[in-house]
Amino acid sequence: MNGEKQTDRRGFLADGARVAGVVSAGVLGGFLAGRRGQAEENRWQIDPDKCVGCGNCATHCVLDESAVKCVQCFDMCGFCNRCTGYYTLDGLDSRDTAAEDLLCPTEAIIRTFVEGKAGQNFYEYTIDTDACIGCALCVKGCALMNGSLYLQVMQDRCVNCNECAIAVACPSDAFVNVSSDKPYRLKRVALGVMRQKAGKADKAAQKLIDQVQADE
Amino acid sequence: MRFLNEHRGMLVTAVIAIAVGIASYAVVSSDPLAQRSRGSFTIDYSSVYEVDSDLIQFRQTEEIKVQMDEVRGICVGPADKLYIAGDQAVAVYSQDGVELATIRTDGEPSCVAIGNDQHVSPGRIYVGAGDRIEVFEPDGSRVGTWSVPDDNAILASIAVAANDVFVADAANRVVLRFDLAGKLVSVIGKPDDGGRTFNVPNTYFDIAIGSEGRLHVANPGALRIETYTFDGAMEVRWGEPGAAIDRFFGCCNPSYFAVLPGGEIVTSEKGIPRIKVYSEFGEFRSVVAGPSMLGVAQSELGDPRAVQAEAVFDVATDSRGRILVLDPRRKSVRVFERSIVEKSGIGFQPVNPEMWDRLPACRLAHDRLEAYPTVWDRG
Ligand code: SF4
Ligand code: SF4
Ligand code: SF4
Repeated sequence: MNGEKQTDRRGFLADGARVAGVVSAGVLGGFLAGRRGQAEENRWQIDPDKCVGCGNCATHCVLDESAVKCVQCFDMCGFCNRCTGYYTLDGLDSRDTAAEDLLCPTEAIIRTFVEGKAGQNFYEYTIDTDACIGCALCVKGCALMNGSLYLQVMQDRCVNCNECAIAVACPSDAFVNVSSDKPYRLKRVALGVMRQKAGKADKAAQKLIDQVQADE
Repeated sequence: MRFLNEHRGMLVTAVIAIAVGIASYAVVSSDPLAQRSRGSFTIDYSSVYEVDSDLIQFRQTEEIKVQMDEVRGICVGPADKLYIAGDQAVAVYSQDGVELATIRTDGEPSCVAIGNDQHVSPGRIYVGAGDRIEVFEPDGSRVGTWSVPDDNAILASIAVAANDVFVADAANRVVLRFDLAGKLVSVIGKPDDGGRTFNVPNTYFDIAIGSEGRLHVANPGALRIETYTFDGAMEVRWGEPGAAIDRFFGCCNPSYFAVLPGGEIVTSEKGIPRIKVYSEFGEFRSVVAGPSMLGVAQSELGDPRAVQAEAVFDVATDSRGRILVLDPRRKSVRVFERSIVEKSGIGFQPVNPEMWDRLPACRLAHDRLEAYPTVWDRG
């Protein structure tokens, strides 16, 4: 499932154009379109700066398949060859993509070759949302390094229980009520980066800030 | 540290990508929850958390509390004075921990370096703050402020030689060489020179002056330390990726390093925090401190909260070979000294200058980099 896929050469790091904005905007836009007229409604969301990755999100949602999924924040990702969110310790050393060397129990992380530079290879890690169960193993692995992977309640799946069953079980009070017109959150670090970019007239950064819940 | 964290993502573009949904709620081939009890998604880091005690040849002898809310960088100047960058200042301490002065900076400092006794002005203080370098005389009076060419710079480290000042810019992944008047002389790692040299996945990008007029640069994404002439010619590179104690862990390490008297290199890794000593040519020598000695519990490894991400320890050394570890969580300087010199026979091992002449000449032609051995063969 997770064979290394090669994409076109992409703008990488500070050199290139934003590539994932379209995806992000599309998902958010789709959700918003579906909920037009209910802007006053609150939704459950995870504050990624409070989550400790306990695993309860995978097991406590009222849905058979948790509404919580992992997301990738490319602004914080190093596009690393040795991703600590993707590999187990053994896999980090071998970089073998056999299932036993991958952290994700469902092989929901897709590793895609981006480009080679300076004798090093760079990879993009995206999440197959259908396969992700929200277990946070990758979140904890990634937190060892850049912390770009984190959990969010997918609003197109969540049935917005009056009392979120995961919120009750969350050991770190990471569940927050957010406005339904901005139901996703960035990590504080990424939000800071986006604000800085927006301050330098970066329209895509401003657009993203406008789309996410941006209170501290 | 907050400064670094808040700018970390400047290194990469794009926005949050909520993974592309595919229409169905399909079907993971086996039920991953079936074998797992609630909350049992854990990662076992015990194999890297424990460090063989025989390898640990240092012990903490002192701890100096720093009167700052946030500490971000440490270095040592003449008379082994300690300089701590943090808040919006540089705090100066005597080698036994007496606070001597506080120098206010214009920006929030991210790194600091001091001219040594060979520097044209011994004790001159260079502070990276925002995208500028603030320069002070030893008494704290301001000499001037230097600009860097790119105003999106993230100044991660400064290294001061007799007549040169090097500044590592993590955002642009280059090392800038300035003269003592603040004029940019050259740039190491420019993309125009045939491609990027340094792989810097976050804001950790450390540099230091080595022996014999060399500049050491951590190339963290390559999990290496590289040695350059001041003119930018690479001479040595070493470092192996891996979880084993003699290797550099994860995607990007070492985060910080410092040079001991005699040339040995003290490295500090994040993720699995550990501080180790290597020869100037990359031979693993010993461990200074592993995660537990640094006060990081095994259960904290991989905790996604920002406070855990801050457990990255800048290091400095003094003329006595003490290793000074800046603890951003305890807001202190932890002093480590060799505990078993006699048993190990390892002490200061000055580099024979002739060694440099026998090194293979590594070129900066990037397509050829991989042709060179990762660890230089001393044969
Ligand atoms: S949260 Fe769990 S299931 Fe989802 S991508 Fe990460 S490791 Fe895989
Ligand atoms: S509100 Fe209900 S459906 Fe949504 S995440 Fe919580 S438990 Fe799951
Ligand atoms: S229950 Fe709370 S702490 Fe545990 S993974 Fe979910 S959001 Fe994170």
